Amino acid sequence: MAESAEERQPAGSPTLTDVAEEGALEPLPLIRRRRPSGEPGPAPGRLGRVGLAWLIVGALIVLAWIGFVLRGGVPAWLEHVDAAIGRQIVRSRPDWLTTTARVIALLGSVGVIMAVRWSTIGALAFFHRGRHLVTYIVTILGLRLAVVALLPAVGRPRPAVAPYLYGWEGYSHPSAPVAMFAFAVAGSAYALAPRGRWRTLAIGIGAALTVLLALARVYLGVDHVTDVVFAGLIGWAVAVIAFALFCPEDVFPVIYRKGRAAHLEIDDRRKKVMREALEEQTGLELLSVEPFGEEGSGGSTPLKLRVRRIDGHREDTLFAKLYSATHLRADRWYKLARTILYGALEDEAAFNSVRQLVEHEDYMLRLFNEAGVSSVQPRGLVELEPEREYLIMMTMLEGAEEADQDAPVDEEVIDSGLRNIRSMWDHGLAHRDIKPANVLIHEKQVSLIDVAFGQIRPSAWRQAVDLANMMLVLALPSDPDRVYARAVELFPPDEIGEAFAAARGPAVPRQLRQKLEENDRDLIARFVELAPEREPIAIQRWSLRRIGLAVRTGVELAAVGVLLAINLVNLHAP
Amino acid sequence: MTKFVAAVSLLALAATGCSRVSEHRDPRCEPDSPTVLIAESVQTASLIPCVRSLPAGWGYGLFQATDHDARFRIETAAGPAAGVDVELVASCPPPTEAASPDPTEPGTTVEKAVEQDTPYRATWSYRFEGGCVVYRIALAGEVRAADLIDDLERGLSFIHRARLSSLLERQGAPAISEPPVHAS
Repeated sequence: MAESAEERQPAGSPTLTDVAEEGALEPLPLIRRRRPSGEPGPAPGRLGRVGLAWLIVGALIVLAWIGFVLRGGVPAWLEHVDAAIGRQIVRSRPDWLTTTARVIALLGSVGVIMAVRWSTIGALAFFHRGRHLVTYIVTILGLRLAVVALLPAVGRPRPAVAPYLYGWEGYSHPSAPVAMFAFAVAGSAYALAPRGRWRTLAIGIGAALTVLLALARVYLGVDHVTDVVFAGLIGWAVAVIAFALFCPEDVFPVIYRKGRAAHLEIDDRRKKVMREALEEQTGLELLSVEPFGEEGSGGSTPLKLRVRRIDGHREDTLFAKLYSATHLRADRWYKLARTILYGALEDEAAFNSVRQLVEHEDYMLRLFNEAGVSSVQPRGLVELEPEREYLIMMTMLEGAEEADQDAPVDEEVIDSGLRNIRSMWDHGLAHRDIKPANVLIHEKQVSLIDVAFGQIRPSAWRQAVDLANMMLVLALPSDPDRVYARAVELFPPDEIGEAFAAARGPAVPRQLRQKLEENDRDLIARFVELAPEREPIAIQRWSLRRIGLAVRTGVELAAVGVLLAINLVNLHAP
Repeated sequence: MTKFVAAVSLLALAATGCSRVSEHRDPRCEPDSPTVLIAESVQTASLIPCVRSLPAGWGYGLFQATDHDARFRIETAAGPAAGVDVELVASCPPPTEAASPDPTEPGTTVEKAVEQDTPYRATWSYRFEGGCVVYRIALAGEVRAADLIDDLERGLSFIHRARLSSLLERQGAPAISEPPVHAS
């Protein structure tokens, strides 16, 4: 039953009539309803019903195995059941059926399993699905180790059938070929097939083949019924659970479209979660949401929101960035790689949670505004899934354009851009990612956006880099001499010289480097000519930590490579 | 606390598992899994090789069984420098003139080919109905070979397929397969 706005409003909290209802949205969101302690968050759990069912199946199998190991073998009643079924199956084995079964049994051969496995690994690597790739490989290794350990621990001999119509090796429970084949096909389905009819088809085909393999091996007399049942179920359960837990579909969807991995799909489920979270946490009704400005963004999913207060009439457009665990991990890998390649460039510690990531950006946005840096206005953040997914909102600069080579840049614009740098210097702030995509021009005013990398109390080197990058951005659509002439009005020439001594390598954001390379003029060289001469400032910072990190990463990668080679390319057992 | 209990439980299970693993890899002359698996690997063999007793300081090594042969190894605890590889196959090359009937096993011929006296290296072949067992013996130089060979001859033995089957039946365990007849 729908409640009215007044009914939903908790007692004692500011009502909508207490604020300027038709005015601009506040920088901080209203909390319409405080979620009581212990109540689940707005988004559903990871496993879902299917995952939970497979978790129960897996747990039961593991419990059974614990029992088998403790008692030293399969219980007698199970042996009798298997023997009875086996006798029926092998009572009559016509040649044509035996031939068919032998062909089907090839599905469990090392060659076929390796082919499925390595095709999947290759496809995942080709499509840059790193997380699915790691999950697939690690789970194969784990499952293989478990099966190899279980076989002698349970110690179940082969069925008492004569003759065996197919090859075997070692004990029979659980059936290693069936377990590894089941995982190979199930894992492939969950890692490669998009959710929906493709995945349903892949799962159906994989399940059918697994059942056929299991039946064939029982018919050929090399496995008991329970050997193949346990193996097939555990292989499938491990695949479902592993991908549900480590590659949840809503965070790491399997989709094949152009675009960056950082850009999450805004499907119906996510829109519903956003709608409910905005209503509950900000008192805003979500009218529409669409991707926006994806070209220049790599660390989040940029969105354009159209919203309205629940009981209001005025509609507003907000810019929002959706952050999830994907972005957190990308941030960590990015900073690790930079530390190994260049040394710690100061304040590049990775965030520990998605919440920290968005809190930092929201905070920096408020600081920049307070420091008088022209930027967008913060409009708070919304929790979509506790600790996993957040939406940070800010005003939208309608009609603004990027400061690329076609932008209308005159002295007024140049002054505006340089004044932003001056404000940052005066208030101990650094942006650290000044590039055309983050410098917007609107009505001759330069605004800086995307302050996620912002830093308080930066070093002089960091401040110098910001100045150099801004001057380069402004020079792209104009010319370096004009920019330099305006810059010396705000900055001592010596500091400009220092800025261009520092503007080297990774200090210049990649997008800006690309634009500079595409430009016919060597802008950096011209600025170096104009500014007082300074020795280039080395970017590489050597430290014990950097050396240790590089060595440790190298050793870990080598160890993983050796483990992979031993286990994934084992031609004697899958 | 939960993590601690889970960790201890896993360790206990692993330890139990490890002891089961050794049980299931030591082919003693009893109706146990390794012996049964060896019997299944060569379904025609009327005799199944097993270990009645180990020489002092010896232990089990490799154990492997497939659908056409089985092999295991016993070796000194100090390492693989001295050991005996035992292999059961369906047939061996025809016996030479050195072969003679085994007085302990009617219907069995034994052939002992000594390649080297010191350190002792030899191949013993036992041929019987439906199978053949080959023992490849390599002893370390400083060992008193004669005493050790006596221990090995006493310790390495056979169990009849029929007796194994009867013991399994008495235990209520599934019987091992009889030698195959032609399938319909």
